[in-house]
Amino acid sequence: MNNITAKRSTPMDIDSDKDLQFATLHWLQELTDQGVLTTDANLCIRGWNRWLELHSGYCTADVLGHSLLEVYPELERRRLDRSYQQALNGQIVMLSQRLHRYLLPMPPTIPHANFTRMLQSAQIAPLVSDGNIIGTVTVIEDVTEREAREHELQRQITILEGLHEVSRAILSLDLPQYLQQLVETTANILRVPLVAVVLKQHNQLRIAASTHTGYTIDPSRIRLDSNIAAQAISKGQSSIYIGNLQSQNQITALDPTSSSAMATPLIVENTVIGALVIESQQQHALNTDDQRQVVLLASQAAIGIYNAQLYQNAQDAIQVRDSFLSIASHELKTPLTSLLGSAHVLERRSRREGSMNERDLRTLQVILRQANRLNDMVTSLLDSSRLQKGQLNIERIPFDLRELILRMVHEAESLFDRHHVVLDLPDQPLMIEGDELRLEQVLQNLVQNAAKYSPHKDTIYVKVHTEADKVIIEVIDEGIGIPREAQPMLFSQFFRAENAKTQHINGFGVGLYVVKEIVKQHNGSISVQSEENQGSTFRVQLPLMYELTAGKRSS
Amino acid sequence: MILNDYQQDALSELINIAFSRTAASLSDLTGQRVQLNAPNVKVRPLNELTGILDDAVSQEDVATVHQVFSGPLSGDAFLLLSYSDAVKLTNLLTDIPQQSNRLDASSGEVLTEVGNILLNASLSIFGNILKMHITFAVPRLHLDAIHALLESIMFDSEEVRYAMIVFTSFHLRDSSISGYLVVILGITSLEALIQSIEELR
Repeated sequence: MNNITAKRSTPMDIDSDKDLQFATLHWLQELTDQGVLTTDANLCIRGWNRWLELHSGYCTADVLGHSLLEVYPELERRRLDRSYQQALNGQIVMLSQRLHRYLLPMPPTIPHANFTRMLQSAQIAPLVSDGNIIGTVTVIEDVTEREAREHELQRQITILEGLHEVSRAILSLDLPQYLQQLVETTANILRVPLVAVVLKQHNQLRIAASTHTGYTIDPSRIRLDSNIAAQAISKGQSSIYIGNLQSQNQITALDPTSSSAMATPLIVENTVIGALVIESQQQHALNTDDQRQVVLLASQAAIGIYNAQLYQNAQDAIQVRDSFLSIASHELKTPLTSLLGSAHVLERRSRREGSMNERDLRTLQVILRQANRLNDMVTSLLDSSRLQKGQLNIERIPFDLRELILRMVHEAESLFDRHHVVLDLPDQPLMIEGDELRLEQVLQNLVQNAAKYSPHKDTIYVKVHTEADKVIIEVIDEGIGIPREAQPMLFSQFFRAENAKTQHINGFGVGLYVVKEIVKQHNGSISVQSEENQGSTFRVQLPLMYELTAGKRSS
Repeated sequence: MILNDYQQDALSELINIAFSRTAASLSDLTGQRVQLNAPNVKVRPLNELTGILDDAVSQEDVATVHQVFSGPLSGDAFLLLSYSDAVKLTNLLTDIPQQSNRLDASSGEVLTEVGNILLNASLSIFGNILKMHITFAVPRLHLDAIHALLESIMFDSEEVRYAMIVFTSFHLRDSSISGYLVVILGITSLEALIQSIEELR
């Protein structure tokens, strides 16, 4: 190439405006990192810069003054001569490498193999002087590296999106759905047809999910110790990858027609719960990069599967508990009713006939009191189980809530040993539409709780007032209060605050759950305000049938 | 500016020929049948253009190939595609195995080339029939909202208060890609165009 450099530095003859232009271009084109090719209007090459010398193998001296089509007969075959004609008509032509792959044909003698892989993008433009088109300029850019970078970027994006999808799907907690999403995303990222999740349960392997792309997993193969999933699970370390299954016979794929296969154990807290299996009919379908991605995916997936399994187990346990409670409370209710009835009869008879001495009567009263308590507990359990099944029915009959509150407070006070209720009630009737018995249960529960959880105080306040078309009932105590962190859970089934347990106050954690559900079914709401060791205020809000204004009803 | 019936007809016919060449080029490129709706030619104040385009191109991001042409006839030509259709079109034209849902620099180039072919095809017909010499600037791809682009045209030109807006949509049969071709001519160019049309009579 030495002679080329010498040739190139020879000044051009400048005998016209046109030549001045070409000469100017000549110097400009040496400054750029792109290929610059200029021709005159007859497509004779007038400029050929160093970039072109380096990449094409032609030195300037070889091509200058020659017709472009003579140097590159290929251009005609690629129909690029038309683009030059367009440029000579004043148009600018863009040529992108994705459509044309290799624009500048390389001479076959070129020794450096990489050159032929160069991807180019080009622009062909007319060279205009004084309004006349005097030639063309072609600017060629090497975009091989850019293309490779973009390809890599695209791959990374696909993987990141896949990982994102897999981690987001964890939130669904629906195991079959999660697994299906996992296998499909993995297949999509790696562009392999068969992905399966094999899980270990009671020391047996089963295929929990697989892609449905025409591949057939042979179910009998999962029982073989030699299958790739079993191997990965028993080894429990990183992954097994067989690029060519035909070359060995110790390990079998899930699909007999697979040529390459990979299995990555799914590990949670040092326990292998299964394996992620990838198979392809193509040999060496995965490269080391893909393998790294699979390991990453598998570690994400293992957590997801573990969480979904835990959730599933918890759901199963809740179902077992609920059905147990439902059956138990029904079964308890029958003997309890007859026990209570008989104890009442016995008490009445002995009072009437004086057939029992004072000591026995006291014993009987203990029996009655405890049986009543048991009855209350069983009733609330039954209610909660009915609520779970959506079987708690609410009647809707108009009644005066004021009357109900008065009666309920009176009855409750008669049952208290020590506590008394301070009642603040409006004068006018408070008509609401609802189930009187159920609402009585609500108020009883709140007032009894107030007494139960204020063992060292003796006053309970019940304040009732109206706001527009709502009645607000507040039950206030000065008891042990509810810790702040427990308040959001307070109305959940079987929840009990820590301080109630430590102070040995009995309860199931069912009452407030039932209360909340009954209030909700009356289109009302319940909330609590509480400070530990200061007391609690439960606030029930129910819709009134009429809005109360200055003691009068207005519809 | 009001066109008489002859002018209106001749202009519409000319544009029809120009745009059908575009459809033919697109069909060549993609190997699919291209359905072209009859071009709509309007002479309107430029500031109405955004409104007209809004009806056609929703708020979605638009891929626009913009080419400025000059000579006796000068103005702006646009190929408008919704972003997703632009992606579909580039995926259709390139046979790279990994189809993407984004336009990277390389697919941007493909799109620019396609736009360049289509716009050249339609604009060169004006030059050929009217025997005018039109030169083109390098096409540019814009991937943002069309509004900003149109505003820059409005601010750029002092004389353009009215413009001829040629507007058509095309539809690739098998891949549900549709797009719009828009040509904006300033009033001086429009007069030159009408004069050339009159000379054909």
